[in-house]
Amino acid sequence: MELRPLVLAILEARPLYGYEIAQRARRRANLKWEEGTLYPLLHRLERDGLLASEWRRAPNGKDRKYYSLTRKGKTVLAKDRVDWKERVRVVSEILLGGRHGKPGRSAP
Amino acid sequence: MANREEALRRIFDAAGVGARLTGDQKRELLGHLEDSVEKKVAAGVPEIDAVGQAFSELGDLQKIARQFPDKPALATPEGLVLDRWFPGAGWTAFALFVFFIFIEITIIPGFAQVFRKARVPIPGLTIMFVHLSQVMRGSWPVTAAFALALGAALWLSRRSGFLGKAAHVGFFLFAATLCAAVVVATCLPLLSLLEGIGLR
Repeated sequence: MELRPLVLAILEARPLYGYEIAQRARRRANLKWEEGTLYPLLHRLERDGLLASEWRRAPNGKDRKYYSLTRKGKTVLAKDRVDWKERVRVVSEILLGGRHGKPGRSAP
Repeated sequence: MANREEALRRIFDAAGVGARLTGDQKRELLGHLEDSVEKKVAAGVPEIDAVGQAFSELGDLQKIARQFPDKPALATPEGLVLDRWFPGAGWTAFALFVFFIFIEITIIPGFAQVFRKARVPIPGLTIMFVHLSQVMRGSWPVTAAFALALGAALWLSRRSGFLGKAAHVGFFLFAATLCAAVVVATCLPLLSLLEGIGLR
């Protein structure tokens, strides 16, 4: 599973820190992963200008590094969504045949 | 809980990845472990088990450390890494800019008076900064508002990522040049003044 669109989509609503992102990914996508791998990804996305980060006081009173989407990140997320829809459409057509699961005309 | 933080830090250090990670990366991963343990303990898991589960869910620390992106290749031919001051370039520039405003408002008028009294030749650069000082003092609320707006813009640009690091470095170079220029502009007539004193 490609993690970039997932992380960008989770951060779309508001800035979050790593643990919150991991928890939301686990809840929303039922993702079973090594949570630590999230951090190199966040740093890469920040290096590429898709995310901005800032150390801030979290509700638990501890300083946490909050990540937020940049304008470039929002653009990339919008593109990822279009790409994803197209991929789903293509795979659905192949697996289910034709449109909306109807048998494909070209199916043998 | 300080004891928990210390215990997690020790276990983390024992994994031998400390040298590979920057302080920022280590702090982030430790924060993740703290939050994870805290949540499990609150759910009734014994502390020792919670720590074990938190490390297990985090994953292989060696692998994670290897996955972090390399630092930007900003090194001199001698090998000196310059990227350390880049993250703070924006705020350093802002501090220099505030310093420049301070010099213009408080120091330059005094020097201008001394130069006028001593009747030393004043170079064009100094005249420019003296005029700027008069404008800034005359409309200090505008100057203060401008400095505040600049600080707010910098803060917003860091949050949104609207301006890249290159822009912050550019701002730093601009502010540093301004500060250097105002120091040079003040020193030039001073040298003439000292020369005059020496000749007498």
